[in-house]
Amino acid sequence: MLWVSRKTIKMNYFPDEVLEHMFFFITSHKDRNSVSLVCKSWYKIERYSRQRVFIGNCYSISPERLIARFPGLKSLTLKGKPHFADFNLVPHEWGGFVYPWIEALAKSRIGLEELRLKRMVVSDESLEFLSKSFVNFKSLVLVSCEGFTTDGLAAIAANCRFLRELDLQENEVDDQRGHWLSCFPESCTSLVTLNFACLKGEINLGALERLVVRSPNLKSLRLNHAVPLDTLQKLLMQAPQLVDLGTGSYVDDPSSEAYSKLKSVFQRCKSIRSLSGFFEVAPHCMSAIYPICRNLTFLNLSYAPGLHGNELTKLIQHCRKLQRLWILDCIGDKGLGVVASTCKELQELRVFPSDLGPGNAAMTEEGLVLLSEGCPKLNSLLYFCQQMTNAALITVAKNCPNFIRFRLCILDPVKCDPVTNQPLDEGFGAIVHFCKGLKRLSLTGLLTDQVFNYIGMYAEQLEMLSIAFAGDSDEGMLYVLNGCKKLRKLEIMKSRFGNAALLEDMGKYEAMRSLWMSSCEVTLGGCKTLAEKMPRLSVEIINESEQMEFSHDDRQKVDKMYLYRTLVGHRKDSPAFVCIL
Amino acid sequence: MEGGLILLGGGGGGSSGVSTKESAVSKVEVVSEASSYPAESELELGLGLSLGGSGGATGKTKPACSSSWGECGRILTAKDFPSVVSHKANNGVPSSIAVSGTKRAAESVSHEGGSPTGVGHVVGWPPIRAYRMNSLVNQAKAPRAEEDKEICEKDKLKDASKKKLYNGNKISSAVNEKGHLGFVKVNMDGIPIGRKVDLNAHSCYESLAQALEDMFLRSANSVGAEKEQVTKPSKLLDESSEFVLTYEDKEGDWMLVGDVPWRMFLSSVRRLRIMRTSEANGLAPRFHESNERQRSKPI
Repeated sequence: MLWVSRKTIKMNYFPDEVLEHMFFFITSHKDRNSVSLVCKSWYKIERYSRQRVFIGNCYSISPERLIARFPGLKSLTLKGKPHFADFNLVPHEWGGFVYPWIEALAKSRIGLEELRLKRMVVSDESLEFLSKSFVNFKSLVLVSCEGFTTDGLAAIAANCRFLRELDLQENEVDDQRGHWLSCFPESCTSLVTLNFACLKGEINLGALERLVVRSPNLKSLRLNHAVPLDTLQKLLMQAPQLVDLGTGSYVDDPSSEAYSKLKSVFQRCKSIRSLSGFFEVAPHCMSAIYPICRNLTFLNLSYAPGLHGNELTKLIQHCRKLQRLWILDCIGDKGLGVVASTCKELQELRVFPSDLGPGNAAMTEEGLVLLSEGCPKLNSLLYFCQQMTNAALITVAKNCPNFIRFRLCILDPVKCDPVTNQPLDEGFGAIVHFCKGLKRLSLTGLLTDQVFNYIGMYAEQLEMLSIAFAGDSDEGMLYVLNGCKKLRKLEIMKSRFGNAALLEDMGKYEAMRSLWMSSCEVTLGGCKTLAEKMPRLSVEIINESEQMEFSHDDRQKVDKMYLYRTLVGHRKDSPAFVCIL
Repeated sequence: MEGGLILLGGGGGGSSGVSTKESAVSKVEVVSEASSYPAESELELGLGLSLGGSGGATGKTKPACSSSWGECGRILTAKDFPSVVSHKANNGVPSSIAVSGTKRAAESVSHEGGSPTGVGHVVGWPPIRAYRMNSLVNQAKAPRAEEDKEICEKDKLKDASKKKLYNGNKISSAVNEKGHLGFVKVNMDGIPIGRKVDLNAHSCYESLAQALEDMFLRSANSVGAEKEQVTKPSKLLDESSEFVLTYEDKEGDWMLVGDVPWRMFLSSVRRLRIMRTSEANGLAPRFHESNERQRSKPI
């Protein structure tokens, strides 16, 4: 036997500075996490050199521990509410408040420069506090957040002297009187990204124009509906270097002077690669955009129901380099055929419904099949449709084996294959079988336990799974929990999974970020058992109904359960209607 | 139940946040203007509509607001919504958290069981972000660009004297149609101060009726005494109540609420009026018939 003394084995052949320099090139969070696990000294070097941290669940760790470990933190990404909060399944006051984080960071010596939040509650106080606490603050990105008004934005504008990025995506913002845009001081010339497309109120157009004029580095500008076409034209004259443009209201008389000026200025905007907006749109004004189309890689028309059939397809025929397309189902199956024959570089497609009336969804399996035949590079799909067949899914899986994200939403969620009257198990089975890199999957349609058997068997890379109205028994959920080794997030609504599935492998949940189950068969007793046995999980019962009142009947089915792993125990800020077991 | 009203800071003073109660109550703004209605003679009353579509209400069970809108056509009372709850604002963090955003009222009435084929009537289905859903509904109301201008010109002329614009600035007509996200003015006979209600926060007539009840009944009792008392503290929109809910549509006609499918209503409603039943004479010949029928039924 060869005994090797610890002293003779050195993992570090290099001085710390060299290691630190090497780590500089390791940017992905996963890799940095791995690096920190190698040994104590790598852990130490990594934590002092770490600048960007991603926290997928703000309740899994506390700001104090974050600060203690990463004193060099510059950029923080936080996510709050569970994904199903997007669909009104989580009450507004559930949690996800950013204030305590900002407070803690402000007290420390952290030189925060970037804050990216998703599904968090952000108050005006938080924004003001943020704006005054970090001298070098540069970038604020808010996605699907709520709780703030334009007053908070005014504070950011006024106080963040070196602001580069203000990016608001699909937030619910209260518009106050007052002109937040005017709060950017004359000395602010550093803007690179300005996205206020989600704001609902009026904009001081003059202030906007002056701001754009003094922002020579502006690359991304997304306007809200209140900005009319003639202002757009003026802005583009000042910012022909834009790479990403979101128009405001795109309506004018095609014979107007503003429109003809717009046409000529678009010809000068040779850098635009990404286009969105069109909240209101005059179809006969679209031809002004054609010169830009040939270079576009991202086109988002999903807020433009005014564009239909022919106008859409005419536009798309100019977009040969498109890689990502977000569109409404006004495009129809035939329109997707046009996409398939034009956009050979397409990687991501999202088709949203434009009319939720029963039976009004326009897309069927035909459009998807056409698309898959023309766009083999497709790797990300969100598709709202009226129906789907197994045959189509199998074809799509074979044509596009590169899927990383596959989200299908049949608006009637338990609809079977209309041709064979069978469940869609085989179709989704094919997807997981052929698409070996699949990381995210959302299923709808009539589905039995069999589909979960397939998922457990084949979906080896699956990280996130969303299930609604599916499965027959606990077996289904067990297939998934036992089979998908890389599963991180599982969210289930209205499916027949109960305690047996929940409790079979409780340790599994510590390897996952979170589990959501609503309107399933799990009971209070089952949840209590889980909570008792797994102290490092937080098991929340969300109970909105007055009647339920957290009865002590363990046999009572739980309406909504959300559990997640955490290193800091139960959170202290939960509202009355949340019971943490 | 703490049926408080949500007053947005935006209307009056720019306070940055207000602690809110939960989804039961839709967003409301107080619009302080004299309520002025077209004189009776100008009222063009629409065809008779049957409000009490589904006949006798038990008043105790939850309604199944399924995709057959007919069941939604009946305006129910507070008793039909046992699941509506108000929640306390959160502790531990600054209480001025302005929770904004229009929530679909689907959340306030949970629908269990039954076939989930009623799109939009099952909480959490379809899986579309609330933000996008709101935009969808708004944009469904706005006609295509060419027609926009026409309609808005009419609007402006008609309402010029009565309109108080939200933020008082010049607003392009096209934006005015859509910019307020489904907020429509509501006036109640006998109460000089009108309100606004966000129609996008509701997905069927029941929840709208509930919200209006909360708005006008609770506030009438708690605010000034100079307003006429609403004698019946509950069941504002009961068939046997002395008030009936009506709306003015795009053509300027006054119609009984509850007649057409909800989404059609959304796209044609301009404003609401809670009218005294006695003034609704002639509004709907059948109305009195069914009214009589229901008066005798226990609620």
